[in-house]
Amino acid sequence: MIQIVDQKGKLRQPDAEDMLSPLSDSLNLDHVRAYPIEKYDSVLLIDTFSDSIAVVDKSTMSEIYKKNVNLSSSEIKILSGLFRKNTKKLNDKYQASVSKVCADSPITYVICPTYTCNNRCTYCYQQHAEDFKRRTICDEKLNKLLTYIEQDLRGRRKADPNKMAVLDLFGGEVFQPRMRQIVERLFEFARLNKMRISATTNAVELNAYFDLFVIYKPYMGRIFTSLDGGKEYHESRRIHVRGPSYQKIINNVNALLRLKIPVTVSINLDHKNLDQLPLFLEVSSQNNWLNNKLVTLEIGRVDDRRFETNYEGIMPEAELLHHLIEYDAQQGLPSNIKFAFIKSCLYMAERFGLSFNQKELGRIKGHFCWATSPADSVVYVDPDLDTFRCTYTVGKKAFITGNVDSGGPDNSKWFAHNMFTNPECGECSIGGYCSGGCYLSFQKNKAKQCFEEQANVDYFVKEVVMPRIIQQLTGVADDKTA
Amino acid sequence: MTNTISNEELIALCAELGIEFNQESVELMLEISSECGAGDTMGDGGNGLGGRRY
Repeated sequence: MIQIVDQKGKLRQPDAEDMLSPLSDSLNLDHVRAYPIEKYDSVLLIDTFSDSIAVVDKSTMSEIYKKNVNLSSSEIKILSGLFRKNTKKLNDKYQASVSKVCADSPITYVICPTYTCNNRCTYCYQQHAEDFKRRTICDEKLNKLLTYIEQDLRGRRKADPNKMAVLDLFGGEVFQPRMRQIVERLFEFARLNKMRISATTNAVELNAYFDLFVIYKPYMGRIFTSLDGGKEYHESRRIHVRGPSYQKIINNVNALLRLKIPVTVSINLDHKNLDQLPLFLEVSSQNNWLNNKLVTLEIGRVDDRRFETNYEGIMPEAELLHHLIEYDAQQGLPSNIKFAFIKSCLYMAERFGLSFNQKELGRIKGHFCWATSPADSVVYVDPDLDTFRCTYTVGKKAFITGNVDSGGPDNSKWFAHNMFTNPECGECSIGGYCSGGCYLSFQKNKAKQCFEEQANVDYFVKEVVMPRIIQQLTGVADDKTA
Repeated sequence: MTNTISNEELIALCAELGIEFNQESVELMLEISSECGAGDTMGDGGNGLGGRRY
């Protein structure tokens, strides 16, 4: 007996459409991940490449392993449709996704005009690098950068004159009073080139720029900031050079909202600050940010992609996701919550309605993240005009992808990291979901990464997927008994 | 429209936040308003453009 898990996570019987595959002599399930469901003498099968999930009884499974001796033609057709690995079909689907996402995605230039910062965050992944130099872009380099963007954008808009483009400000911290002239110039540049402005900021001194936000309000896209939890905890980790900052951030976010500028406020969680989530939501409630259409409350995960901090508080993706699913079931998360950390578990989480608005722009199936996806046109440029691909690498000169002075970035190595080009990933039973994992982790310690991603998938299946499947099987069994 | 703010609201808000504009800024603001429609913000269509994390 075969039961298919549909796109809403519900078990259903196969129908005529599931029998459209041609009859084949053999069915190989080596690439399929199998989890026994002892109580129901069945096995949960997950094909991460075709993203097919089904429950198959053990007697059918044994027939499969005996080379289909006693399987009916309809059973073979169903199983072939679900689980036969068809590389050409996968590739065609992938190419179609690249084209579609490329057409829909904006072109984004992420500018780091300064590496200086007015905060001294205890855990900052950027500012603590040994070779890190806290410089600000000079006039000559800023001129070169803006000329590069203008020409690049003009070329790209030849094919699509209305192509959306974003000037995204990053750092260091852009919105320090000393950055005023540069920020004015960048805002005006965005306006002249019909670009939307977005920025990542600690928001402590944002008030020094309110007049610019009013003037350039029509071009504003979104402002991103973060709170680590409650006031005491936040200020103990996000140390501002001029003293307490928590209330200033909140006031500045509220001023942006009164200007009707969309804001994302995020929190990054680990084992040690899980207790800050209720405080984060409480302060969000006090400021009318819950279920507010102008606000996105984002949850990220503290990670260690280069395996260099060895921070013991890190929660694996699946464990954090499980915790938050349980939290939602007990306490309820607001409608404007957005997860920003689901990687290998994403397709299963989406199927069961548990991805909580995660929308990783540019990521397509076959890639672990947007940074390795050729469908996302994003470049980070720093004060030296060096270019980077991944947010985590900005400021780490070992990860430069090019320089604006020498033609811009070469992302080919990043794009080549996917489930098609890594032979081992193509053979691995989680290859379709993990797709090679984080490129940084892959380079540093591939074996460790593979172990962690497999553990993520298995944990999520055991703790989240399986109970939902068993609940449905129990319902089916009860119906039959009745 | 979610992202629209009236001129009256904007003037009151600027006064409350202590934001002052010189003549040049006012002219620029009027110019931008005429380009894009007064009071509107392009926003990001809810897509969260920029601010990449993950």
